[in-house]
Amino acid sequence: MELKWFIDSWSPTEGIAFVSQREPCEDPWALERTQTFVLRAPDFVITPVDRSIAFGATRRNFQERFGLVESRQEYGFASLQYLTAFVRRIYLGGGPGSGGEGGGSPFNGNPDAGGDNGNEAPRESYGALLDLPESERLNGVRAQLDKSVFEGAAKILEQIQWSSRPGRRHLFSDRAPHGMGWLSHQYVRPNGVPKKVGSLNDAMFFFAADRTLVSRAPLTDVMPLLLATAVYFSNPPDYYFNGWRYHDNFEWWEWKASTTYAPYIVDWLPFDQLPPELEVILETWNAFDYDEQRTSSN
Amino acid sequence: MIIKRLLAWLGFSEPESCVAEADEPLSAPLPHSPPDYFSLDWAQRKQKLLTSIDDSFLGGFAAANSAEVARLALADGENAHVHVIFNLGADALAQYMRTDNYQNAYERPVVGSKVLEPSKKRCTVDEMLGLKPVENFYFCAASISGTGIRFYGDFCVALKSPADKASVTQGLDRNSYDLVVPPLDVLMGCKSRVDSLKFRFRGPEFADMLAIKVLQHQAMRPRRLTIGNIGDAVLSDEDYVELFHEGKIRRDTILEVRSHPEDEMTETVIESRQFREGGSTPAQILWLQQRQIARREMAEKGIVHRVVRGSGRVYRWS
Repeated sequence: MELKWFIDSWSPTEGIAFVSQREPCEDPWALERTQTFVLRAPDFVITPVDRSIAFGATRRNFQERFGLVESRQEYGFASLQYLTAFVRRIYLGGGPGSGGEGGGSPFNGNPDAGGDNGNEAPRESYGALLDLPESERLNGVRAQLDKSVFEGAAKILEQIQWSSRPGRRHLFSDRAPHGMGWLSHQYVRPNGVPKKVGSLNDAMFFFAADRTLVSRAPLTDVMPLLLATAVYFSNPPDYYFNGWRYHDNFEWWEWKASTTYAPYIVDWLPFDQLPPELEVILETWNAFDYDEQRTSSN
Repeated sequence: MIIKRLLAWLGFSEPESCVAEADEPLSAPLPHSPPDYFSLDWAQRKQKLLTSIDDSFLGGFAAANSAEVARLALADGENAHVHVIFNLGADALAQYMRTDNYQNAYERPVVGSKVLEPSKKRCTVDEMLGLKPVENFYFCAASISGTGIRFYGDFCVALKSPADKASVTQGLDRNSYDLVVPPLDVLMGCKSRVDSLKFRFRGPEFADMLAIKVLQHQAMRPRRLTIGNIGDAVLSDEDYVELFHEGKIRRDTILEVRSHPEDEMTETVIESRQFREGGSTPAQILWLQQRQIARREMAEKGIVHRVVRGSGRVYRWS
């Protein structure tokens, strides 16, 4: 029987975990000769270390072991890939903390719009998008961008006086942060997204961490936010800040979304599902606000 | 084999192997006669080591180097070389800067189960060290100028001297995990033996213990050791001297925060790649942002941040 992978000690919000492949046991430190590895953000490359370092971590600010909620036993990961994905997504779910934004643009408009109100009957949900098989993901995201963003934008664009160049400029540069004004208004804060997500920056980590919490959210609401996030993070800033506003050509935007932004979204969304019990842990963790993730309530 | 048999037949036999069997059970019985080591204090151990070192100058260099280590170990205040340090990641550092509340494992929120019992070995070590209540202690290490134990986080916080003496009164000459694994585990049956590996911080015992650690690391060199050589021995890769800080480590006790150029470089690489090509992974962007936030928080609170390389003595920049 193949041995499972266990977390010996870890710091969730730092993305550092000491792990080993072994039998489940009452006392992991009794297995002195077990090879121990460290995984670290940002790239989570596995590196061998002495077991004493993993033990020393628990004397500092690292959590000792990991078990499912209300379980009295540590959890064994079927593979190192699962373990790494879990540590990485918990890290992303911790976000940049409550000390202010590390970047990204705060949402414009009414901050109370949507958010936390997941009672609306779901239309086609974000969760369904994440269930697409690998071969269909890119085309799935492209199709959803068309449906959720560009069809809506086309309606807005029809109302614009195309002969008026200042009008077009206004449309792309002034109406909303970073020229995203032509997106539908829902991108501000779709239903189902907790209020801790207050910027494109938060949105990226939130969506990259969790696949169940926002599965209630209607896909047509989520896609504009994903597009805005992809636009924000996938453009080289020099080009972005200098050249953005002159690309006010709708066809160009559709092309760019299809060739650049859709693949970027596919790259970082958590399409690969972890075992359901781990997805539950991720969902719970991601639902905490930044302070709750960092300050014990005990 | 034929030669061995022939020698045996002639009455010659090989000496017993001194090397311990690799598969010796962990629960070996306690030796009847404890090794001398535990009955000696740190000064006697140092003396014993010094007399056993026979360099080309009758052990003169060992004695001189030992005296130099003692001088560094005991210096405090503005002259301090050895500092109390601990490492933490960017997010924990930013949180610490904001709240002035550095948390140990007992104080941090738990992901997943809150009912996993502390492991037995950990409880055993707590008991051996006699730190009560253990929740009040914050584990640190001794270091000269470097960036500490980076496995625990990118940033190394060094505390001011001589104020550090008020909260850090004792330490262990090694990672306390060594107490529960071979070869020490079977020898740690009584508390006095554990106590004999402890020392009073910045006291003569500390100087003797550190001199032993350095001489063992740089043994037999008929050269005067430089501060860098000594620093490399005080904290070498994963091998460090443990210090116990009792009570909260307040922000105003911080001398400086150090980080390594390697991490600064990784940050620059991610940033410039994102700038040129875009498309960095979310984890890379988050890691970058957490470091930027930590730096900003340090600047706001007036905490000195230095980038130091290796032993931390040649290049130090803010």
